[in-house]
Amino acid sequence: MRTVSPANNSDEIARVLARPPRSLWRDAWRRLIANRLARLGMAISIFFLLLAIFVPVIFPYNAKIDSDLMNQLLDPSLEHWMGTDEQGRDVMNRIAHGAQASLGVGVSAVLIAVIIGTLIGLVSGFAGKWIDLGLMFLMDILLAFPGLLLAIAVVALIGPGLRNALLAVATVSIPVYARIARSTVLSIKEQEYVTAARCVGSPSTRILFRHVFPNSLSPIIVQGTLGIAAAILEIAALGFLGLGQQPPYPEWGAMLADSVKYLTSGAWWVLLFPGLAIMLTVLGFNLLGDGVRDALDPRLRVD
Amino acid sequence: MSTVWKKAFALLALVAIVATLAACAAPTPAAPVVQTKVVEQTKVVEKVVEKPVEKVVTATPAPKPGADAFIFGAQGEPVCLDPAIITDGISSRVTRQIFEGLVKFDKDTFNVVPQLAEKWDVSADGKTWTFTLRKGAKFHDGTEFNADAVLKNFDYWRNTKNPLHAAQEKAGQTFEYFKNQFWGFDDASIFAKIEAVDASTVRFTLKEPQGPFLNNLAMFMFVFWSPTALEKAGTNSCKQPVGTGAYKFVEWKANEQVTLEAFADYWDKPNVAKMKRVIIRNIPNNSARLLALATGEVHAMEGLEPRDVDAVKNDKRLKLLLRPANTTGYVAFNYKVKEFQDLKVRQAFAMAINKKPIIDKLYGGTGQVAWQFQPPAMWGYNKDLKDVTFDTAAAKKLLADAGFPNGISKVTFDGKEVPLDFWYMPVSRPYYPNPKDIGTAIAADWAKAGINVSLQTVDWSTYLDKRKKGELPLYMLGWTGDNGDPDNFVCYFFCLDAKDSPKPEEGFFADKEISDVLKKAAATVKQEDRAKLYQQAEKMIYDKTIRVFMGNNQPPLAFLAGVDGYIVNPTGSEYFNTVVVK
Repeated sequence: MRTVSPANNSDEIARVLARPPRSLWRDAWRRLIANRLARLGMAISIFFLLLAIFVPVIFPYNAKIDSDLMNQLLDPSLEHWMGTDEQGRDVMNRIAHGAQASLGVGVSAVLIAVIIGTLIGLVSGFAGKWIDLGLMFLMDILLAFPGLLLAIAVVALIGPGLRNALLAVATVSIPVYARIARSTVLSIKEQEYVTAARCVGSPSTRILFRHVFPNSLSPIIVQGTLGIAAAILEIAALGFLGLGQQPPYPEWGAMLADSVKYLTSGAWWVLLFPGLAIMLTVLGFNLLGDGVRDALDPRLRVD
Repeated sequence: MSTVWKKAFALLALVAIVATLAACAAPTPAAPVVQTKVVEQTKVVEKVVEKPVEKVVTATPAPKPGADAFIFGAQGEPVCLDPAIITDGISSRVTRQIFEGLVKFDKDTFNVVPQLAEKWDVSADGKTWTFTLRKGAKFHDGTEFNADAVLKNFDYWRNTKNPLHAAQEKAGQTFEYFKNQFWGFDDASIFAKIEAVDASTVRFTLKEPQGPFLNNLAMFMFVFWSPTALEKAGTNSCKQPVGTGAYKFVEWKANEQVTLEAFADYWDKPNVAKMKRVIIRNIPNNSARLLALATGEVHAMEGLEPRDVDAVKNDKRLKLLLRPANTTGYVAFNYKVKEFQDLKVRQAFAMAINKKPIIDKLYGGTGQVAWQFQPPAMWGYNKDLKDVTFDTAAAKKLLADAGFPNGISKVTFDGKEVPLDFWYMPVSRPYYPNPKDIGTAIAADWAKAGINVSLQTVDWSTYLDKRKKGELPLYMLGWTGDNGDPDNFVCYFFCLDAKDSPKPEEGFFADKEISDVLKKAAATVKQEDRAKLYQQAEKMIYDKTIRVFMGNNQPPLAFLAGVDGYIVNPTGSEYFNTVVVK
C-alpha cells in the first residue's frame, strides 16, 4: 500500500487520486494479453470454442445417416482435406462436429465441478469444525483415487454415454476445487476486513459471499482454465475406452479408438487428425491457463 | 515466471498428452469394459502394453524361443481344458491337440473319417451303431484306450448321477454341448443303451435314428479322457487334460500361454507330431498379434483385422490361409418387441440394409453376402432363394403400411415403450470381423429408411448373458458351424423344446411350423430327404424374415512363410501335428 505523507506537495496527492481506478481484473487482462504464449493458447482455445459453438449451427450434420462405404478410407484430397474414415465419412467434418462433444463437455464438466467444488470448499473452510472435517474427509476419499480410474468407475456405475462421461469427469474434479477454495478461505477469513465485517454485525452468509468469495476467486479461475484441458483429455480417454460418446456420433477420443486398427496399415489420416485435435486443444488450454496464472499472481502486479 | 520455465511447461504438457494418448492407445480389448472388475482390467492393459510398437520399426526378429516349437497366437485365454465342458473356439484349439474321439473330420472338410474307432456299422433302422475300436492306442498317462474308457467317458457326460458329472454341474461346469447334440441327459438323451460288446467294440443303441449322429461324434467335445486321469483330476479337470492326442499337456500359464509337448507313444506312427512342442500364446489385441507375427514371436495367428488381410497377402515373409466359409452373421429380432411381431416391419428392416458394400468393404475381401442361415457349401442350402432387393423407399413404404409413416425410433418392449436399441458385439468373431463398424453401417442404412436405432454394446460375457435371457431387443450375433450338419446351424437355433415354449436365448422365437420341419429333418437318416426338409425350413425362415442374415465369412489365418502343413478346417479347430516350422 502506498502511503502519502501529508507533508508532500498536494500535486502528488492530486495526481494519484486523479489516476483512473485500475481493477485487479483489468490489470490481469493486460498482463495476459502481453504474454505471447498465453495469446497463442487463447487463440487456439477460441478457435476450437468457435468450432464447437458455430459448426453445428451453420453446417447441421446428421451422424446417424452418415455412412458411404464406397468412399471408405480415401486419402486426404481436395474434396476430403483430412481423408475419410472406415465408414466413408469425412474426417474433417467429424473433427469439426466432434469439437462440440469434446469441448462442450470439457467446459461444462469444469463449470459443474467449479460451482459444486467451490461451494463445498467455501462452506467447509468458513464453517470449520465438524462440517469441515466431514466434507474434507469425503473430498479426500475422492482424491485418493487416480482421476481417470475413478471416472471409469463412475461411468461403469451409471452406464456409458456422453452425458454420463460429463458427470464422471465433473465428479472427479470436484475435490480439487473444494480443496483450493477451502485453503484460500482459511487464509482470507483471518484478514482484518473480515473481522471488521463481523464486528459491524454482517451475517455469515453476507461475509462469505461479499467478502470471502470474491477474494478467493483467482486461484479457482487458474485451476479451472487448466482443468478444462485435463477434462478434455479425460473425456477423450473415456471416449477411447468406449465409455463416452457412443457411435455413430463423432468424438475425438472415440475416433482415435476406431482408428487404432489402421496403425499398421497405412491409413494415417484417420489417426493423426483426431489426435492432433486433442493435442492442440489441450495445449491451447494449458498455455492459456498458465498465462492466467501469471496474470492473476498478485506478486507480479505492476503499476 | 521465466520463459524457460514456460517452455518447459509447454513441453511437459505435450509429453503428458502424448503419454496419456499412448497409454490409451495401448489398445484396450476392443470391448468397452463396463464391469467394475478393476483388477482384471489392469491386467489386460498391462498385457497389451507389453508389445511396444517400435518393434515394427526396427523389425529385428526376436530371439526364437526354441526352434523346435510351433507358436500360435490366439485371440484370448482358454476358458477350460476339459473338452466336455467348453463351448468356445479358443479353448477347443488346445484340447483338439490333446484329445481324440471315435471319429474326426478329415483334413479341410466335414467328411467323417475314423480316429480312435477303426470302423463302424449301422443297422438298417439307423438305431444301432457298432464301433470297432483301434487297438494299441494309449493315453498320455499310459492307460490303455479300450471300450471301458469309452463307456466311462459317456457316463461322465451323460449320467447326472455320475459323482463327477454332478460335482462339475455343481461347480458351474456344465455339459452344454452334450445336452444340445444328444438331446439331454440320462433317459432324456437319445441313447437307449451304451454297452461294451468286448474290450474293443462299443455299441450304441439309440431311441430313434439321428441324422447327424456321426457328425456329432466328430465334434471337438466328444473326445476321450484317460479314465484314471479324469478320476484323479476331479472337478479340477480344466487344468489337467489327459487324452490320446499327438500332443500332451505340459503347462498353462494364466493369461500367457499353454505349452504342449509331442507324445512319443502316439498310436498313429506316420502322423506323430512333427514339432517337439506347441505353444499357444494369448494375445488379445489384433494389431499386437500381427506385430508378434511380423517379428517372428509367433508362427501363426488368427483374428486378422480385415484391413490387414491385403497387407499379409502382399508380404513375402507372411502367408494367408482362408478357412472355408462356415460362418453366418445375423441380426436377430426379439419377438417380445411388439413391432417385430409384424412381418412387414421385419421385412422393412431386412430391405433397408445395403449388404453388398458392407460385406465388400468391412470384411477385408473374405466375406460374401448371405440371405439364409446355412453357408452355400452346406447340403441343406436352398439354391432357389434370392436375397431381398435393397430398397430404402420400399422399406419406408412397408413401414408406413405397417402403421409407422414417420419411421420407428421407439418400440414397445415387454409392455414398456423404450428407444429402440441395436446391440453390436464388443469383440470380433469370425462371422463379424469388426462388429462395431458393421453395426454402425447397418444403423446408418436403417436411419436412411426412417429406422432410428441407438447403438449399444457391453462387455462380451454380459452381452452373451443378456442375449441368453432375451434382454436384447435387436442384436448382432452369428454362428460358426461345428459339425458340417445343417442341424447344427438351423435346429440349434430354431428347434423348440417339447412344450414348444418360446426360446428367450433366441429372442423369444416360437414358430412351431419351422421347428416341426427341423425336428423331422433331424430324425430322418437319408441325406437327400433331410436336405429337402432343411431347404424347406430355410424358405420358411426367409419368407417370415425370422432373422436378417448378413454374410458368410472365410476367417483368415496368417502364417510366417516358413510354416508348412497347416490344414484349415471349417470347424475352426485344427490339428497341429502336421505343422512344420522351417
